[in-house]
Amino acid sequence: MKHQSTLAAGLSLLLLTSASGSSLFVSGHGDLGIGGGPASGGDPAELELHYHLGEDVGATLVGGANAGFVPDPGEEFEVNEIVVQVFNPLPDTDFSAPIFSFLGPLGDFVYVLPENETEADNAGVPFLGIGSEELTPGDWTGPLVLTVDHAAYDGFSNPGEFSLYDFGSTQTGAATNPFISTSNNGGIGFELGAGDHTHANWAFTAPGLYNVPFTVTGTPSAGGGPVTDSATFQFLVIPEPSAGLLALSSVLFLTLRRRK
Amino acid sequence: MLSFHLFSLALLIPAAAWAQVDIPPEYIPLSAGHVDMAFCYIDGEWEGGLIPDDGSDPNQDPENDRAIGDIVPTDSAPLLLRDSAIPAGARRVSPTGNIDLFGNDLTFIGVGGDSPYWLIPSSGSQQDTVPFVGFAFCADNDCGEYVETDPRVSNTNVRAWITFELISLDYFGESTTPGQFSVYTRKSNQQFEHWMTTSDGIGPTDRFLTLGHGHGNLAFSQLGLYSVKMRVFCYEGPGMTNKVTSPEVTFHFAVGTYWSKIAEYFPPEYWDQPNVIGSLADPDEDLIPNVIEIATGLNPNFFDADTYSSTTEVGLPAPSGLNPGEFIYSDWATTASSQIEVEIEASSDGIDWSPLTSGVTSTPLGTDGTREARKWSGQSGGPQLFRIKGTLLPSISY
Repeated sequence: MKHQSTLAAGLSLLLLTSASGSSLFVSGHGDLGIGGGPASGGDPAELELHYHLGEDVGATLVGGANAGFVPDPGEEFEVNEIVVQVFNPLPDTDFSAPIFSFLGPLGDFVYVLPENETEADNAGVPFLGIGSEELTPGDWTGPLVLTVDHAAYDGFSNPGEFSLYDFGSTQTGAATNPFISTSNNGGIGFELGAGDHTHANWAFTAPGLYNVPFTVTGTPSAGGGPVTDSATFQFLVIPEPSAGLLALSSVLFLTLRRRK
Repeated sequence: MLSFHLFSLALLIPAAAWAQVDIPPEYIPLSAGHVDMAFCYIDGEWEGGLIPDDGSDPNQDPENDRAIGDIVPTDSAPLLLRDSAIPAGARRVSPTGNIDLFGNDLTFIGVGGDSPYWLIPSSGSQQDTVPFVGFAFCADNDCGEYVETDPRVSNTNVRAWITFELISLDYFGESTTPGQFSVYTRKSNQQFEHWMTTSDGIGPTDRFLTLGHGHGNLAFSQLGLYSVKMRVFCYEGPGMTNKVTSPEVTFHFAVGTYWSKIAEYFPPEYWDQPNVIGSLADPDEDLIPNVIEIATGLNPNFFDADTYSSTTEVGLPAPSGLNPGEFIYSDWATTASSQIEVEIEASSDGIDWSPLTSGVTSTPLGTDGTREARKWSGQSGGPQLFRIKGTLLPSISY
């Protein structure tokens, strides 16, 4: 089901997520964190999704209970404390190559958080990665796998499609790996070793507020079978605003209206 | 193509006084793991170098580990791009016509179509055979924030930009075409953004912008040794009008297996000396040229002509001592990973030579596909003289 979103902006002192106190993550380096285990004071056989922000480059949070600058090293936040802003002043427009068909039906733009830090900084968007540094590799057998619950994604009436992909380490262009694609309920999931950290492209096909229900699955070395954790991450994709609106980003008042 | 024959009668080599390049103990080339080309601006003083930053990444260099966060002088830590086949090394091959699937023209790298080039990738999984090299800046108080107007930057926010400037490139190698260096990124729709390209000369657009840390694809067009000189600048003071520029710092790269081995034995201060780094050079004066030294696992910076592979996995071919008429030897395999082609030739009279093509068995050494052990079982009445032929190949196709 396709939805249309309307975003209205105005002056007010907070914000789309005022009810929950969430803050907008608008720039810098942050990760979707996969934690749990003894390092987090928990059971070695537990997984827990969260954010950690302000890695090698600090992160900026706007509005909400955690507004401010998060310097090094990374600080952890609950999933419901953060909304990731996706905003490309000059969106990449040409995703017409067949290799990008996994993105789904495209509108005027595709909005992307790049896998490359320089591209993210130059575009003025968050450099969002996936990190499991808190976990001890020996505690886990095989990779951790991050997936999206496609039925739940559809249930949120999201404004467009979401994909997670990278170019692989060859950087030859031939290997574009769609780990997650909501347009065709596809993708093999994003695999990450315990104790690892990496980046990929987070792509959205239309403006609006997205609820993306992630699940991480891992198998403890101690046995007992796979364990999981699930959480819904929010992304606010905003279209190309005027420079004036950009300057007022700290006091944006956004109202989302959807109609079927 | 350079080649050299070495008679296995090297037993006749006199143990003469030999020259040896002094290698300081802090000289440790880096061949894997995350490391940044870094400049720090502390208390108004600049320091440039390499900052290993493996963090918790499990692929940090197991051989040449360094303390995380130290600023390492670049002259003591060249960055090695080995070319081993397993796992995949730095080698890439440009597309036919030099245009990739997304219309990117790779000519700026300095190669034509269907040609090898070598790459440190900007992202993706880190590899054991290639260091993951980025750009970094650190300061006790940030340089000032401003709106960057470089057309390659679309971020219109006021930010603390740091600019890396490319000053010069020196290439040392045996390619007839000088090596070129470039830095580019790949956008989310696969289009390239060029930051530094030497193939069209070095000018004011050859710069890389970062907010403190970033990665680009670092491409090299030829096998060989590269010394890349850079500096950074930022702005400080009222109105961001005071441009503060660092001293120039040279970062060193060795591209390819042969040249990586050379860099392991000879620091960058010797890279401009062909009689030290060249494939036919013999800097340790043991009458074994570098290409043979490296092919057989010997040390080109040590008088080791009396090392024979009958007892170890390195050294010159020698009789096994077990079975008359048989000898064994090991070498860098004649594969895409070695850049050195090794042949054993035999003769009965010392005049007519021919390759040994039969009776040779090969067994891989290690797991990376770069070395092998060979064993030749001789025949009664067969050739009496043998020589090893090493050829440094300019490039090898898969």
